[in-house]
Amino acid sequence: MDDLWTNTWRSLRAHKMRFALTSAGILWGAFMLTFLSGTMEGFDQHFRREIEEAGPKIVLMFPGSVLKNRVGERGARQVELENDDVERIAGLHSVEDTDHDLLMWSQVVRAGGRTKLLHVNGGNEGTARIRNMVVDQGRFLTATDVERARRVAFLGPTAAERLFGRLPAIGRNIQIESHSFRVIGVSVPKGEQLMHIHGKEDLTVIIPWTTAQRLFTKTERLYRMAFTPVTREESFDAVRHTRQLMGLHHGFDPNLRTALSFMNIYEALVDIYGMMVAIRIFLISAGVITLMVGAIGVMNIMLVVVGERTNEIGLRKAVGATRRAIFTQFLAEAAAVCGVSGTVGAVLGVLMTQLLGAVSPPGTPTASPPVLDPLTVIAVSTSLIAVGMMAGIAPAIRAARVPPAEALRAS
Amino acid sequence: MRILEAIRQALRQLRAHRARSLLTMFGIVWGTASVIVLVAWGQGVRQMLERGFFKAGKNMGEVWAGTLSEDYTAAVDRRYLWYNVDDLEALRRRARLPVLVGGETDEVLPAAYRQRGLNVDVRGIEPEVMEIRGVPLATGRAITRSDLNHNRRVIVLGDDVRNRLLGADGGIGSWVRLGGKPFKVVGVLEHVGTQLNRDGFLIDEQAWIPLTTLQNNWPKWWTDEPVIEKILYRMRDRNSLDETEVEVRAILAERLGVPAGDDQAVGIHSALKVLRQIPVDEMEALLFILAATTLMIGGIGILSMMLDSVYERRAEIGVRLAIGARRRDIIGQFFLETLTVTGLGGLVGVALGVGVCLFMGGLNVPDLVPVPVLQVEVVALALGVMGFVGVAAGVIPAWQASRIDPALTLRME
Repeated sequence: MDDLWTNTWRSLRAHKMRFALTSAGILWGAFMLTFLSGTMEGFDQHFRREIEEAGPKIVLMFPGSVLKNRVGERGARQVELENDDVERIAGLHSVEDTDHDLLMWSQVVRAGGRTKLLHVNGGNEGTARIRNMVVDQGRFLTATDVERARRVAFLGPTAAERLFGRLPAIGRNIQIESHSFRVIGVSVPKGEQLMHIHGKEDLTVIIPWTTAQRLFTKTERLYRMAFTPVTREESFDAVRHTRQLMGLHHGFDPNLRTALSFMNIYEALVDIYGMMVAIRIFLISAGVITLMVGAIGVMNIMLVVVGERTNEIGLRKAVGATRRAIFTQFLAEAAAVCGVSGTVGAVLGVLMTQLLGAVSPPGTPTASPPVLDPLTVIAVSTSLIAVGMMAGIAPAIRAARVPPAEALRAS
Repeated sequence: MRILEAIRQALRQLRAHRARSLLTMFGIVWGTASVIVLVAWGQGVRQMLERGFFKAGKNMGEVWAGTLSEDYTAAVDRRYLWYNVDDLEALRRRARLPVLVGGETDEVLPAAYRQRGLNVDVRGIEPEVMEIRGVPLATGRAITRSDLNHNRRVIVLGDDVRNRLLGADGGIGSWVRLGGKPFKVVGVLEHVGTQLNRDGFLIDEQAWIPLTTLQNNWPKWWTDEPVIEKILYRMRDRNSLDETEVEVRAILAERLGVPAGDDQAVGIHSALKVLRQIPVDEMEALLFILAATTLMIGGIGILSMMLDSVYERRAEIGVRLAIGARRRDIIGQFFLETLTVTGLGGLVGVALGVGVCLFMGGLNVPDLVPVPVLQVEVVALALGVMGFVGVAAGVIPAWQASRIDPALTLRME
């Protein structure tokens, strides 16, 4: 083994210039592959974060109407969505969280000396999960808050700032219309959203839906509800199950499209994610082909080396070296060139990705690339191994086949 | 003649080391092809993004009325904000920057045709809105000003709505019921597909009726006044994005009686703003740099091959110098040889790149998958970079060849 490495090293040193020139191809290929794949991963993560800020797998359901076509009936009947329906839908195995999602636009909210118009939402303890809201200070609603219809409010950061300025909001009282609520928490800002489902979420006030119905809407009827499927892929199942369940309880054909409408965020995202995958496949292929062309360069130089060292190979064989030993020697040389230059290229690629991240203004798609993402690591390492093999095998076979007698005669 | 001779020499040299020359030229071939493919693909990404973002309207701004952000006083009840016809007219009269302005109001209504039913996002629109959105009609006619003046119950259906509601047998002239009221189908929109910019339902899932018809039949619950929920405008070009927004907001804020900069009361969204955040120019430049470097690395391969060639032929060069060839001739010969090899590889690369572009362009890919868009400029660019690489790779071998000392090489023989 020691011998193998010494031989490899010597040969590389003897053709220093040539190897340096050709390994530039491998280095560049590995650099390009790492850089493109890493930057693309950053893009991907950025857009997923932006898009999913509104709620990673939210489905909204709106009741519609059922046309009556039976004799003696005229016009349309409204489908009445009620509290019980939400509970029934929560029982479906494909559904994770449900939300009554009561929406009260432009409510007069007072705190200290200020009076502001804010949107008030009635929700439950799962609302934060559904809408992807993160608690910054205090806590979110709990099951007990909902059960006991407590007068507590959770504020978006902009809403908190409008009402209290820079003063702490937790524990203070606010008046919604004429009812007093205690502030229990404030969420982390979402900033500019690419997708809006509940308006600007930094501006909302969330209270328990039980409290909202008791004090404000004063009805069990709902104009819409929200739920999340267990996994995004299950969202289509969840919608189908919901249609069946609602049809059963409200007496309509589940296939009737007017009865319920759904807005499934996953449906909108499938196309966009497909686009990102396509972009990635293209860029990774470009990187891999470049790497392969680099490998062809190494193969080229190795063939030349084999030709030049026919003599030496013949001599080694004559004194007893096996074909296998010769094969291994040349393969090791090619692998060493590809391995070293490829690794250097990959490291440079990672550094370049980070450098681009450092100079990009925060919030732009290239600003926060991952240091090492699994996909890039797998793509780079497998193609480097494949390429090293490709570059080494042909010259190694040629070397192994050199007939000793002829080689010795030639000198 | 000298040029032809050099080319012949180069080809002979290539034939003598066939395998090696082929492998070396791979670098140039792929380098040139990758310049074409990557730059054309960057163009493709740009076009795909613009197509996706402009599907609901090119260079469009969308204005809605939100809520007051300043302190609310019950004395002037402005709890709910909305626009009316006068606001729209004021905007049309006073705003200099928008080219077109149109009002829109929407309502989700049950639509029925025979036994089929569907919930549809119905938009009450002005004729200008159709023009701003720019969705072509598949058949029939658009909503006209006269439809608005006469409150006509006419409807233009999105592609998806038409398919689901009318099916194969229905078309222009059919009567559909919207919330129980009969409407005559006068037009069908062409298929729009995936939109990167959307407000509520996709255009394919919408139906358009005259603004006044919607206002009269389905008034909003909070007021008796005919409401315009949304104002669309088209800006002159993409550079006037910000100034147009400022102007529109100032006029409408004054109409609503809110501070001029209140972006919560007068909300404006524009797909261009999102598009602007995506660094398309930078991406294109980056792809070009990457591809050009690949080509240069290919050039290094040629350089190393030519250096070997000079070394192998040093005896020949020595003889030529000894019998009176000038150094200039030697330089010219090797320079032209390098250019020939590079040019040959480059032409194959151009063919390969153009082939890949045409192949990918011909694939039937989904709406949002970018394919390379081939342009003459891209090919010219690739050839330009290739020429540069050829010249750069030719300089050193030619110079080395010319520095050979004939006395030394002759003695070697």
